[in-house]
Amino acid sequence: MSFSVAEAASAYVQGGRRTGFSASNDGTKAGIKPHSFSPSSGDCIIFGLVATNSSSNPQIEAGYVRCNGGPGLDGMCDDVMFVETITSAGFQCYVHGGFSQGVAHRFRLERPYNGSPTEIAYVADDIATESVGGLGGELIHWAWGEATPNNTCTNGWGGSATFRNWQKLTYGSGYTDISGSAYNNCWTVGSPNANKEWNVSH
Amino acid sequence: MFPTDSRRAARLLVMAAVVLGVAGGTAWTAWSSTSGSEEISRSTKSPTGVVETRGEVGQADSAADAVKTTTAGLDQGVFEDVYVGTSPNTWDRQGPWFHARLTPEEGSPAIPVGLWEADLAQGAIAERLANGEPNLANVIVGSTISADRAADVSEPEWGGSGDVQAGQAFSARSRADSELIKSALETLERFPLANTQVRVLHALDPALMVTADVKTPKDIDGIVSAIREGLLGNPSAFEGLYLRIDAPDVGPLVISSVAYRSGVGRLWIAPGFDEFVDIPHGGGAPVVRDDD
Repeated sequence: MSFSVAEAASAYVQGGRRTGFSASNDGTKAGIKPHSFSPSSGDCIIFGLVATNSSSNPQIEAGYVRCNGGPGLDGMCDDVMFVETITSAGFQCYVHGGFSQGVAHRFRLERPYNGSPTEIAYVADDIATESVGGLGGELIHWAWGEATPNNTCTNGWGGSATFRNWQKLTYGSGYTDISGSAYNNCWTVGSPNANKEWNVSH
Repeated sequence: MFPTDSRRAARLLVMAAVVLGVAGGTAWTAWSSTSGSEEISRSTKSPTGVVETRGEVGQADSAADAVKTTTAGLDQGVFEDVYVGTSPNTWDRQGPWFHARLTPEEGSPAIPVGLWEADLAQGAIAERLANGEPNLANVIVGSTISADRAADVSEPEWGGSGDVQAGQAFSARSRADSELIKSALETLERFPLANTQVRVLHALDPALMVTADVKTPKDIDGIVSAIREGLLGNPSAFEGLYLRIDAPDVGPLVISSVAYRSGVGRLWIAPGFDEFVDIPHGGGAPVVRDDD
């Protein structure tokens, strides 16, 4: 399977690996070990998992965020594990505890059952946190690094993380390993090694 | 909102909590290439970093008591219904669950004031029921906040529960509302705003509700974060803020709300004006398609 980018949202700098669209994308999980965060002033670096549809709304993301001044992601989340949802009502970010660089946690996004429009985020210790509706049908999953708006490829920001054991859930089949397709947009995206680890860095 | 020194201090608080977690036997371990397949550790919850001083909060005798005490400090009639019940779905985290149904608001803003007040209520109720539990997300494990909308608009539903340290006290509690309002209005005078209105709500400690107008959308270019920090202080003196700025011919231009006790920030920006708002947010995933 090959992919092409039909349209990129130029205001955001996101790079990582992604699945294709499928109605059997019932969930995804991965361990993420953040190594470094160097956001530009007022902005944030994120490493996380994402589930969304073909219009990128609604969207749910779970991961780590660290900012460099400013009010934090959605005015709330900075230096924390987080869940952010994007809906027609805007952006919502919930804080879910601190983290340390070099320490991995598992993040998981799942529908409660095949065909459900609800996608639930599980953070760190597999506790169900926030969810978002409107994600029935075909979904795409991303495992990525992200620099918030106002960042460009060249204005001095950076960050790196390792993803491990990225998997996809299909009800009836359970979780299976996936490698997806690399999406490089200012980020350097590695390929899974023998330990099922790959890096995202800038 | 956090200058470097304060951010470092907040980060140290988080790090201290992590260290305490290790000392307390919590398994904070990094994976290694030779570790087993289950490389993920369990996590002790940490504070959000907005703790100013720890305060003693009067504990409620029951959830109903906590709801009654909390909503008495909010706008009357803002909720059609509000209570602490059970988790709505089997797949949700099970435990006490905050439910609120909002009274419809004029214009149906994307972030209704009632939604923010529900966020405040959820956190304050959790605080009043904490009874020694250090993490408010273990007191109220989730929330469902809903509102009726016009017939042609799908009914939204919000909710969640941030991992927030119990016992936060916000310094504005020591000042009279009139003084807080005067101070906020003086802060707003530093910015190109008109028709500024400020109210103070008391789910528990004071929270600010602010509305203002600008002459043109470009007037908010790069200053929304400064308005927020000017109003809240650093660290925040308030347990929440609702800030709505309108512009002629646009209506609501930006709405930013935060409720520190429930651990949620919300942000809505009128379509086409994202570049003027300097509060960072995640981006929608790039629109891609499969070739095959």
